[in-house]
Amino acid sequence: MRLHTRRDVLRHAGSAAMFAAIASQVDFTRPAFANDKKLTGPINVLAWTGYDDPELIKGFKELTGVDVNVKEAQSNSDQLSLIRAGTTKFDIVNPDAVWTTKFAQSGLTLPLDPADIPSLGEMFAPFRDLSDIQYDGKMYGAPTRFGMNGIVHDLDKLSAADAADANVLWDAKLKDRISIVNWAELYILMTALWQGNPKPETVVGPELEATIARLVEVKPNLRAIHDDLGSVKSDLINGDAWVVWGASSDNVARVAREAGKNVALTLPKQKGVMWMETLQIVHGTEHLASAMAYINYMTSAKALSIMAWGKEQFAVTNAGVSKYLTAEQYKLLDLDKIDEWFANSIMGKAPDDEKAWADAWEQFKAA
Amino acid sequence: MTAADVPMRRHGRAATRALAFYAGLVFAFLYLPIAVIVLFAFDDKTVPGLPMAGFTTQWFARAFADGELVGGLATSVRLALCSAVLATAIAMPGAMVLAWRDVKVRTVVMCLVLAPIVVPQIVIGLGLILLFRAAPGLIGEPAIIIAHTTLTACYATMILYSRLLGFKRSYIEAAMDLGASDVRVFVEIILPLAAPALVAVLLLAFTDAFGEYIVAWFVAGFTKTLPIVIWGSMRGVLSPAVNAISAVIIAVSLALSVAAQIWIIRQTRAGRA
Amino acid sequence: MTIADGPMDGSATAAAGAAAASARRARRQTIGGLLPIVAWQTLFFAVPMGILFVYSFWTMKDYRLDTTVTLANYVRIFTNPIYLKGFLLSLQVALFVTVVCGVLAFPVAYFIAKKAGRWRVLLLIMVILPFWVSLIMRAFAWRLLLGERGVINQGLELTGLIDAPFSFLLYSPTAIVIGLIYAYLPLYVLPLYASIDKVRDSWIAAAQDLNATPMRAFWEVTFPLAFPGLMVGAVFCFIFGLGEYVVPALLGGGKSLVIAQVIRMEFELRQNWPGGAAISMVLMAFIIALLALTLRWIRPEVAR
Repeated sequence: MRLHTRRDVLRHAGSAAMFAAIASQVDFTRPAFANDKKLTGPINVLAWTGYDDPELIKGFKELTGVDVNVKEAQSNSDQLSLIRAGTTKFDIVNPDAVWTTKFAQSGLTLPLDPADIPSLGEMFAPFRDLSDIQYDGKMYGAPTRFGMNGIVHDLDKLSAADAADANVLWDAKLKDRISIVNWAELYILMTALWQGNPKPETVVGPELEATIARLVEVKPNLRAIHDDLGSVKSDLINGDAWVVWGASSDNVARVAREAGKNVALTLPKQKGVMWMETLQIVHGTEHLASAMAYINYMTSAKALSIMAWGKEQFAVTNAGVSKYLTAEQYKLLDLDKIDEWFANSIMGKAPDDEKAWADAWEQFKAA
Repeated sequence: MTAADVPMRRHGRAATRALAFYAGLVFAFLYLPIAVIVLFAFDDKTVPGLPMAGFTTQWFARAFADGELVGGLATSVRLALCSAVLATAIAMPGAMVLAWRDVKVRTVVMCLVLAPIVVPQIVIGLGLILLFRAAPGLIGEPAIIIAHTTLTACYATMILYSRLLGFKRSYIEAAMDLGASDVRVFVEIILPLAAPALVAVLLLAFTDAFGEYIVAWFVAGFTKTLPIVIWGSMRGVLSPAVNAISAVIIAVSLALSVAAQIWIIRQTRAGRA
Repeated sequence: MTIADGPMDGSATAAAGAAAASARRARRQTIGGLLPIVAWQTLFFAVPMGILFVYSFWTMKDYRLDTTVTLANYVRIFTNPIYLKGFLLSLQVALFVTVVCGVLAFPVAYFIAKKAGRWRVLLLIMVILPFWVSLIMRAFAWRLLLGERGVINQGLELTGLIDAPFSFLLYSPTAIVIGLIYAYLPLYVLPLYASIDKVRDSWIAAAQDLNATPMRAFWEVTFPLAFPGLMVGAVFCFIFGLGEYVVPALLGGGKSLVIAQVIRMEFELRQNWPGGAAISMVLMAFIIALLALTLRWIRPEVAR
């Protein structure tokens, strides 16, 4: 019994203060930032894979004298969870543009002044439109990498002419042949777009129901809904899938081609959907000047050319990379097709009603 | 030997042979994927798959040149050893008491000990990262050790407990009531009795800690264990260099185990002679 | 915490003092023995779960935590069929895997403990060795084995046994089951080994001398003594199977979700920590109730 009492006392004494510290989410009493003039460090970066490249980190250190720690995440939501928990003090976070609202609404990121990021002017045209990275009228991030979502197909199994009509994905001949990833917003958006909604991010109610019904119809044709991008690639390369829909298609096609597979990326006449990834500053950073310098460095043509030709080979947003990449590299990254792509796609936007879309995706997964 | 014994012996031998065959099949099942992994470590294709392209050893060279892979491996071995030993150390006294004393709260304690294995790892990861807000300095290696000790202490306690259960009360009385020589009793009686379970526990705990990714990712900070490195390269295509390093892990540990076994057998033979 | 000691022999008054001293000693040992594990699991498991338990009564509004206490998360679990569906799939898979693993593992553990002689430690290590290779690599290897152009399908086609490849082998509940049986075998073999090992050969021989057939000796001597190990393996296997995420995610194809995937969806898709926490709490309560029942079967003889 004594033990019990002692523990009780301990619990009552410490718990209130402790719990307040642990369970609250964002500490709004903390200043939003510090050191906005002086370059201080090291800065902590939470990012998608690709940022922990020694050459990139070395370049920033040479430029500013500031060290960079990078933690790589496998998803937007893992990044949001870790920032939300706030245990490690990150300065920079790297969500997709469509996640801007979630971070900003949570009070986890800081608005930026576009004038502070000169490389924004060097971006390919569509990435200069910053409305996709805004919340409440303010800009929150700078774009780094991007990709195209369309239909990647094994040319021995499906011709480019066939893939030019998105409805082919629903064709019974592709039963069990399509691999996709668990990317809720993307597939709802694409299906809504292909059903003739010019602003697919706005669909709700009966329109959304129709979209989900259509999406459920494609399920028999799905080989797998993977949690990672690597698996769709190995499915395509090993013949388990003939088609990869979405899943950052240009990157999938690039890797599959490199592995010797005869594949093509086709944007159907109903159009493809682009995504982009951004760098944002975490609320409460103690190294604001260094964080801004990092964003400027990482969006520069030099850094993005290193990034583009690094491990993962995603396309990058800065048009100036042509100076640093060979013509062949530029072509392999599909940057030569960029005008054609822009003409045949829309930029993916976050849904107006996130909750309804989450419910819809759950419905699709459970069907 | 009576005539009646003969068929029984023969029957026994046949049964042993059947058992060995069955065990052989299960071992084949266990090593089938490993064979595939090793096979593709020597294949020239950048993405493992049939048909194979041709023999190469380049992936081994790449694996050893890859600082992240090799560094991750070293970190993982070190951290997994720590948490396996720690888990066993905190589990052993608890298992002894649970098995040998009439503890009224046994079920409560056991549920507390076992519960971590049912909670999905993402939940444990989030729970721990919230807990570590009270001590952010622990994030990194100490937090990984703590997390894996928590996850593996369940097996440790349960396996030790089930082993200790069957021992006669007289042993235990002797072991626990011999007065001043507690430590000696523990070392000379209890440890040898528990040895098979201790080996099993250390092996399992090490294995789980060595391979666990989800919880580790949450609490690792900037530390990179081997699973974190490997999961990190999932977005691209896993390089056969990972096959190569896996093949090396298997080969080295098999070789070490066989060598140790042979050495032990030689020692015991020499000791008897 | 109330802790009773072993039965005391208090009949002789002269011995009462000594007995009391020994009782105090025993209590000290009991508390001292339990303290490390209980304190550790309380601090690093019960406290974090306690935090999430509190979360489970809150909600997320516009990605911020709303700390108004509500049962809404729990109501949702019992009204939305996706949770029940996921739970039932997990339950089926876990039960099946538990039984199959037990059948596969028992003879192997018996062989290693009783027939392998000096090689048994080596064999034991060999059981666990495959698991030192990353889970991803093993899952990918299973994909290469089970895939449509995989080793098994190509082998079967080559021998002319089938005309078209089996596509159900991969990205299906079948694949989840194969992957889990593979993943959990050592969890069974090792505790079984630890308990079969303590069955003395002389006991089996004695039973056989008493004219018991080997079969009867096995069922009446070996099996009852190995039973705690079997139960431990089964409990591990079942509980792990219920909460497993990685293997179903890599081999299941994501078209039908196990409960852990549903929970993850709650965290990932909605950033709904309170909702995810609530499902975890329900799952944990279910398992603990089940454990409390099961653990009775592996109570120590000495405690009676």
